[in-house]
Amino acid sequence: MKRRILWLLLLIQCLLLSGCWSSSAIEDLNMEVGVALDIADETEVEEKLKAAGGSYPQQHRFSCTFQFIVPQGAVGSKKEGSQSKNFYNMTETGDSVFEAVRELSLRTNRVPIGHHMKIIIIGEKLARTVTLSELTDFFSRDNDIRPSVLLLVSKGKARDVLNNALPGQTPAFVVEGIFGNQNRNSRIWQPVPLTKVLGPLHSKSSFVLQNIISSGSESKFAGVGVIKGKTGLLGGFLDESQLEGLIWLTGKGQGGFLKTKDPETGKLLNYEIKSMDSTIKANVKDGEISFEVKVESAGRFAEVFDPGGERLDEAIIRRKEKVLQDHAEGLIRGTMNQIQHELHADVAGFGTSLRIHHPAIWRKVKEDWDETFSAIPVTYKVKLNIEEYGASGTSAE
Amino acid sequence: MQAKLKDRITTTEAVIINVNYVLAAGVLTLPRTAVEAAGTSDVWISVILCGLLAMVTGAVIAKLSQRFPGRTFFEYIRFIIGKPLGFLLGISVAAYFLSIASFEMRTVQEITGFYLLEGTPSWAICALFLWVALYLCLGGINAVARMCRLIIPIAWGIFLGVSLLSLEIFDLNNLRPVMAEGVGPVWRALRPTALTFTAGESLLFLVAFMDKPKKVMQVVVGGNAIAMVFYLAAVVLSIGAFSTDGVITRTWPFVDLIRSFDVSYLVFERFESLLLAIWILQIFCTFCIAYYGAALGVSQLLNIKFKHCLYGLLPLIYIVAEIPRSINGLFMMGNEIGNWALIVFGILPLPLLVVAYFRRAGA
Repeated sequence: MKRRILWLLLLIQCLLLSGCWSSSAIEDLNMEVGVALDIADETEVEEKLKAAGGSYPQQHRFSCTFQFIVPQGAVGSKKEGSQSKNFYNMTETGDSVFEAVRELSLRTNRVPIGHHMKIIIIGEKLARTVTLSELTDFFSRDNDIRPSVLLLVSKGKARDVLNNALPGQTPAFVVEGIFGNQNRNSRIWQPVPLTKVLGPLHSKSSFVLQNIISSGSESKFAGVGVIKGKTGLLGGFLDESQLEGLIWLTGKGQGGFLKTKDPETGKLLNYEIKSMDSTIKANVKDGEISFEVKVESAGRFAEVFDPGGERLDEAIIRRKEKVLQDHAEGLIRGTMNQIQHELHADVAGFGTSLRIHHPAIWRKVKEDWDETFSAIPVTYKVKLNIEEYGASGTSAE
Repeated sequence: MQAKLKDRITTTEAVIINVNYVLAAGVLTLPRTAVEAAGTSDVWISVILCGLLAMVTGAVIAKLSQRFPGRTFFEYIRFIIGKPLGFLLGISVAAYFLSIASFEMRTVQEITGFYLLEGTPSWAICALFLWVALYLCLGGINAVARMCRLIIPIAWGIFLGVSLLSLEIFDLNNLRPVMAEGVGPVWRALRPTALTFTAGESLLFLVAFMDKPKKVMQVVVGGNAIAMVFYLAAVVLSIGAFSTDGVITRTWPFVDLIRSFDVSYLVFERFESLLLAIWILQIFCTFCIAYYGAALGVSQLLNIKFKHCLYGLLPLIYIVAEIPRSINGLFMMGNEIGNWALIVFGILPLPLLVVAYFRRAGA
């Protein structure tokens, strides 16, 4: 008898204790994978809804486009071929991100969850007028959106980026994945998660976010947008070559290439970066601050178009190294010109170097650092080492 | 009948209980509170200093307890300062343990409700916590010790694992320069660190249960050193990822640290649920030890059966836990409890030891 009661108890326990209190089936969830924030611009659907009476008092500050993924199998009879999309976007225009998310609950029965949110893209016009702290406040406070979500800016409309992807792909995942190509191209800035902007936003220091543009059916990483510390607004952009210069300046590259023309032969020369490293040294002499940038890189020849099919001996390699070093230094100078004299924003970590090595001086200048920085002299030293030339030991014919 | 002191625990078990008692909700918030006070990244030095300081205060309590073999603080205190004063002090210590238990449970309630089980009513979370703790404590100190020992490999393993994974977003520059503003920031961070890092109090009754009370110093040093590693890891890793300016914006910096990275090369991509699950276990240990201490105190001071005390305190813990009206109230409660601990366990034991010495109380 006792045994039977025990079994009964165990059985009841199985019924009562299994499962989760606040569970919800995955098919009933709207999994957010990306968000695009733009200056208020209502979509066709929204306008029609509004015309039919679906509106509420608001100032039309911005449009939030949420990208959701369609759970596999949730779409009834899926059409074969390129027509089927495995994501869909919904746009809400409102005054706050939170309001927009909750307003979506009037349009869909599915509950949005943010655990898998990968990217937040902010359109240029919005980023120039509303501070980044306001735009990201909801994301950094929310309990399911993780601080690992990556931030990007878009020159143009951010919403368009979320529309573009090859058939069968999801734009948010594609954008996130492109960051993985840092070892293939040095014109990609490191992915910046929300975690890494909280500090700079709070300390009012400048930083950069990857810029992504879109055209027709595809998107492309194109330079970076500079967020100014003082204002928290987008201050301007660095184009692709200036980004390349910034990568060399900070040594943040993991690979890629450096292309130039050998002035002597007029022929193209391509160097594949295996590694790079940079140190920024802050010097203070009689209260005058100056910086010394030292860049080192190792790599190999990827393409040498010199005529004659000559053997690539030490003399040639040394000469080419010099050519490439000058080119890299030129790129760095171009970037420095832009951030010192055009944008007035230290985005390359000069302030960090000063803070670490001369904390007393830093305390005096940190209040207005971006302006102080734009007048500080910087010297450069670039050292390249061509380690090998690949399977072909001569130049092209 | 008073609480049975027939139970005996080994030195290792005592170390484990001590560590598990110290490691609690503080790890999740210390990076913020310490940096808020210091303003610089030097707080890791304060953590080390506090660890050493806690060893000293712990040693004083241990010495005190050693004078009265087989007796807990609640029993021997009247031999030192007389019955009425001893009773008051004993009750205040028992009340301290009770509020620690309440504080830890409320913290779990907040974290679980926010990060893990949104929508589950908080009473459901607390009910499970309270019932399991009651069942465990009814089994005596040995059961508590065994449970602590059981969760260590899981909890510490996962903690170590996620800490290593978080190195992906670690930036050493955020921790430099060291002591650029002198000892000021280190000094300022000592207080908030000490508030979460009071360690000696569990020895007030733990020593009485030890089979070899002579080895109590091992418990003091070992327990504090291990706990210090965890606090150090939490502080260093959080500042390394968020920078000092970022870390003060986070309510639960250490949880947000673990939420800040995705891992694509392991079976799991996200680790915050895992970390929270094991840290709730860890907090549960602290809860049980404090609950046990409170019940033991009441039982020995008022001469009530230990089991009855356990049952009687259970609703009280819940009521105290529900006193703070907001998260700020909860943090304030934590602060007040810490202040209380600083006085009762940081400063008071030394005069007690001196008085005991001159009155020739105890061995």
